[in-house]
Amino acid sequence: MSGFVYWRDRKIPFQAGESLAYVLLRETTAGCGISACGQTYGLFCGIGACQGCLVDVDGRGVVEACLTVPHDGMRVNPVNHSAVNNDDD
Amino acid sequence: MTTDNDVLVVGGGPAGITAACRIAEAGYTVRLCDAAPSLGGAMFRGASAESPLISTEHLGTWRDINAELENHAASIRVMTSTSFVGLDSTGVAVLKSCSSGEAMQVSPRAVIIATGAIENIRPVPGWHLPGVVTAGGLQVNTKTCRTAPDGDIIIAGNGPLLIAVAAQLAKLGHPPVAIVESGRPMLPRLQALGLPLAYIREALSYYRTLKKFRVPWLHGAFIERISRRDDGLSVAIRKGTRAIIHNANIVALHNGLQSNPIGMPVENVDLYKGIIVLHAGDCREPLGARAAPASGHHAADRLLAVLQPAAVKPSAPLQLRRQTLAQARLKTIFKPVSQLPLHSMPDDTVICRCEQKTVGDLRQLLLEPGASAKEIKLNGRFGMGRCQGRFCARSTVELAAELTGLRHTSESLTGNRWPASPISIGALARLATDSATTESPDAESQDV
Ligand code: FES
Repeated sequence: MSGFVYWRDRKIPFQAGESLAYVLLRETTAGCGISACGQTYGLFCGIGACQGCLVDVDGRGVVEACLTVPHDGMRVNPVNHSAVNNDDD
Repeated sequence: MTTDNDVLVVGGGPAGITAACRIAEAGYTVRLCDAAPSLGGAMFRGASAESPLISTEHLGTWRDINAELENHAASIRVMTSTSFVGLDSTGVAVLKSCSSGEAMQVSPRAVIIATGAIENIRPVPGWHLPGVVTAGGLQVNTKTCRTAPDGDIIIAGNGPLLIAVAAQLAKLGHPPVAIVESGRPMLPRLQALGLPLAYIREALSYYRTLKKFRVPWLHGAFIERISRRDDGLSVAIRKGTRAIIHNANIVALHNGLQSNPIGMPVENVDLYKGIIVLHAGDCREPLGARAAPASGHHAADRLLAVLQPAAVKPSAPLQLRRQTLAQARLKTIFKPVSQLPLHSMPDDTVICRCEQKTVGDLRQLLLEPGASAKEIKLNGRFGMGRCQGRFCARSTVELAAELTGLRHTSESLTGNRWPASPISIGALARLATDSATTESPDAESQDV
């Protein structure tokens, strides 16, 4: 399937077979989000090991973008890191 | 709680699938889960006859593995997009749907962990910037969609994977602007001749592709710094006395593979000590795709030797020993010759990406002599982040040893407690309260 995802309200095209992290790589300088330390970052390990690509999908919760298959109209947002960190502790 | 499957196999690459088939053949039922949306692991993800990225040799292997899986489809339940969270002390395994984050629990009689290797990434100043990825991570993503990412790519670090990824990108019509290799792999020719023929053939095919697309392969070179430029990255490379600056949008780093035991249950073959756990494939020891099926087969045999002691006598297969030798030879050939010791990197070099802790931070922390691994972690926050130390523990202990002479192990920094992958407290709580949970909502089993 191909289509568009919305990264913070920006429309980004995707092709079949691409992981969400790969799609967001097109927005490289924006990265996937902003870490607790204020640094932007995104796709890194590509296999779910670094957790650097965590995003919020369709407001349903936090997922690894590199393990996520995008669908048309998917709403992708940076995660609320304070919430994630609370979960971690 | 589901108890319908005898054995849980975690990881659907060549090792995991082969193990699952062997166990099914012996008459047991298997649940095979993988965190990715499709099976194949880093090696075979997206592999098919239409893919220009897979060699005839590897395609053949993948076909054989798949045919076996089909043969045993009735006893192997495949769950993709499902990651392993952990195994508790009572032998209950917790799994998580990667798409919904919801958890489920299963109680197998044995667990085989075959989750693959993780990459070694040596820090360079600026490796924390967006646009810097691992070469293996880039490769896995490229394989599934068979398109290269936009923009200029530089591949850097050490080892044979660099030219593999470069050649694959070139085949997709998007060769990298340079490969920066810190070893001198063309010098030890005699060593190279001792490699199995399949390795030499594979290397030559990559080499020819790189030649054809005129990709510069710099030997004995390393990245001094990656910095942000208006619309991308600027990469300062050093080769001897020569300094080279390249612009790039993506920098892919890689310095070899390492086993990946973090958060995973340790091996146990003693029925009296609890549930049987075995590790197979690259997560046990990175020996590559040619060893993985043999390693999976061997793990299954070791398991069957416990379950049916009269029937099976496992012995380390010849193929495993061969691949161990070949991998050792590859390491010698690609031995890094130009690579800065970590302590000579600038103080602002990030060591721990998750917590943004730097060379300077560790230097400060270690002014106080005799710091234990625990202090480095708790006071310094090295290895405290979400990657659980997978990408920083090694460099942290290496730098600490350079600075103080005190050698800690990576494990003393990371520890080995589950979860192996993060799970929300909410999902765990729902699991505890909802004893009727048998399946997570959208992690249905899928046909391959
Ligand atoms: S890129 Fe590392 S977890 Fe997704």
